[in-house]
Amino acid sequence: MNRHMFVLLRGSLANRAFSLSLIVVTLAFAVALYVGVQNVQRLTRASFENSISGVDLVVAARGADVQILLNTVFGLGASSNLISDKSVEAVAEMSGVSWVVPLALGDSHRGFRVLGTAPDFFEHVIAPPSGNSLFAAGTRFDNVLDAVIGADVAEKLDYKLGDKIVLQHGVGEYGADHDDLPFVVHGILAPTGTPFDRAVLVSVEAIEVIHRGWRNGQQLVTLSPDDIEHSTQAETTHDDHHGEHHEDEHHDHASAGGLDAVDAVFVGLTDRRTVVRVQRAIAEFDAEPLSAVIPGVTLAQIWQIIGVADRGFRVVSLLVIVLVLLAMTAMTVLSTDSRRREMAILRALGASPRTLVGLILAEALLLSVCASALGLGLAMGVSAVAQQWLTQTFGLSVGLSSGGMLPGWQELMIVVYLVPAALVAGLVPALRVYRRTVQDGIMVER
Amino acid sequence: MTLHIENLKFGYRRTDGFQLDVPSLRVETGSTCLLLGPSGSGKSTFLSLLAGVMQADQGRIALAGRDFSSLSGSQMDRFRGTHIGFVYQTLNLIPWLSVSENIALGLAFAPERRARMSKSVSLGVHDLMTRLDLDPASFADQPAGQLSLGQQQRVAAARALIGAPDLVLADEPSSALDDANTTVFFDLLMAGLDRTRQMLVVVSHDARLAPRFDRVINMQDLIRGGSAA
Repeated sequence: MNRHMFVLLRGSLANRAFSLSLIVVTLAFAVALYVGVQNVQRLTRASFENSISGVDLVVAARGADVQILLNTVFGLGASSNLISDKSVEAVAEMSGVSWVVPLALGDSHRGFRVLGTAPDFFEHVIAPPSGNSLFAAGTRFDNVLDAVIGADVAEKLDYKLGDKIVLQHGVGEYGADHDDLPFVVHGILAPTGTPFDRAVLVSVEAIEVIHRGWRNGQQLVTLSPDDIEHSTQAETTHDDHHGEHHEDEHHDHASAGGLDAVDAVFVGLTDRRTVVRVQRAIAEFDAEPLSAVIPGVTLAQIWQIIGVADRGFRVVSLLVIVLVLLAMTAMTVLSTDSRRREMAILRALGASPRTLVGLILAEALLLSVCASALGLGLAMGVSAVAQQWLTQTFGLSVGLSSGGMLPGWQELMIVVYLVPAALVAGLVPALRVYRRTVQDGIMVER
Repeated sequence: MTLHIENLKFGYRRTDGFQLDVPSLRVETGSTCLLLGPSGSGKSTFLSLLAGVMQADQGRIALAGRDFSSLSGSQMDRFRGTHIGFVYQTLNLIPWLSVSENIALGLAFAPERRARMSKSVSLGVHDLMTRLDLDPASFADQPAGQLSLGQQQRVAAARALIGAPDLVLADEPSSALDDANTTVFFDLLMAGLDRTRQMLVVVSHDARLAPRFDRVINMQDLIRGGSAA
């Protein structure tokens, strides 16, 4: 393209600046929509797959990986079987295992599930949103009847520190209340962007205590808070005694606390690269049939299932781009129809029909490149703002660490697709121009 | 440099019987030629043939020694850009380009024509504007669409003249102009023509123009049968 052609193209674009900028802006919005949808998809996926990024293995009684993860992390479904205290200890002692955090499930509080666990949970399993502290208020549980509630629980039920809450036996509405032993809200978690935002966390000992005197979902004996003081003291001492192999004092409770069986154990390794070896060792554990699930792998599998809606959004946003391209084609056809005279003049000056087609296509190219750049910029701006809001509101901080604000390669690919698509869209008016200039020649009576 | 037509026949396939028939026509370098005829007399058709946009059924048209029929479509486009300057009856210009850009556009698709110029494009544009009585200082950067009709036709003439193409073709260039502007236009066009290397062929229905030209050809002599319209 020589200088004159450039002048011609520039002038032609400038002459139609208003209508062209409308199309560019529309196309940019469509691109931004697409990129935004992809960005959100990527962020939610990352957030989802990092739900328990600190955990290397989830160990439970033998079962399907997906089921185990849905149950332990997302509170969906139920445990098929429990793991005995002894097995938990054995896993904790396996070479390569750095820490274990037990998980006792099955109770709920007003629709939110209750997790019986060890204080280590707050150290290993959930990470605070970057730069903030894990607790919005209070601390981890000190006493048996202390509870830590997730951010969503605190917000939905409007709980403050010191509030008394009663757990329900079982997950459904039919569950009997453990109303003889109310818990005290001792800590409120900052939003973590994990399913634990919607959980009530108590110690494993507490789970044991509130079920004392229960059998088959029936309460046989009623206890009062005074009754438990002694027994817990005793148990803690007992734990210290046989928990010496652990590296620090917090790990005492890891060995299932006061329960003789738990639903699952979160396991951390000293070296992540040994995960497959440890996984196999657990699977081959003799005393009890166990499964060890690598969360990242299984979460990715689950995403394959629940990510369908996201893909639907993406298809819709792609369709929007296609529609805008069609609109661009229609507009270019109209404009070239009104530029018939211009085309004839250029033909008289020695422009070949091919050159004119080139001009039309160059225009489409330029428009699509501008629209892509503008759209990407728009999407980045919006996601930067959205990111801040998400982090503050939902603790969805994961995106930040994985470059959430910058469009990834996947998002940039839209440019790679859009520009050729715009050229194809430009072909329609270009071919019309070609056909007509050959017919018209240089004579247009207008 | 000559324009040479031999045994040109066009319109054989037309059903209305209109037929263009030019046994022999020679226009020499430095000469000016008026094709005189009422509208509908086949002038535009003849002009399209001379510009190489339409192809003759028979015979040959040659300019500067090149037979048009030996050139491919794109070669002919380039040849036209290089060797022929064109002036329409009206609406010659790209209205949103400046006057100087419109004039320079005459060289856009003709690198050889640009190469022939002994001075820079901007200097050439400046010269032509002065010669065609368009003050460069006030008009060069104005959008062409804002000029009066008479001025626009002179800009078109400048575009046809820049780089001195062998043949300047004009299709009723003054029919939209009043008498005063017509006089100015032809005075300046003729003055701008380089008689040592260019020739001018003008098509018009206006017999009053005849005295200005070296040679006048009546379209009626070139047509047989019906009407070109």
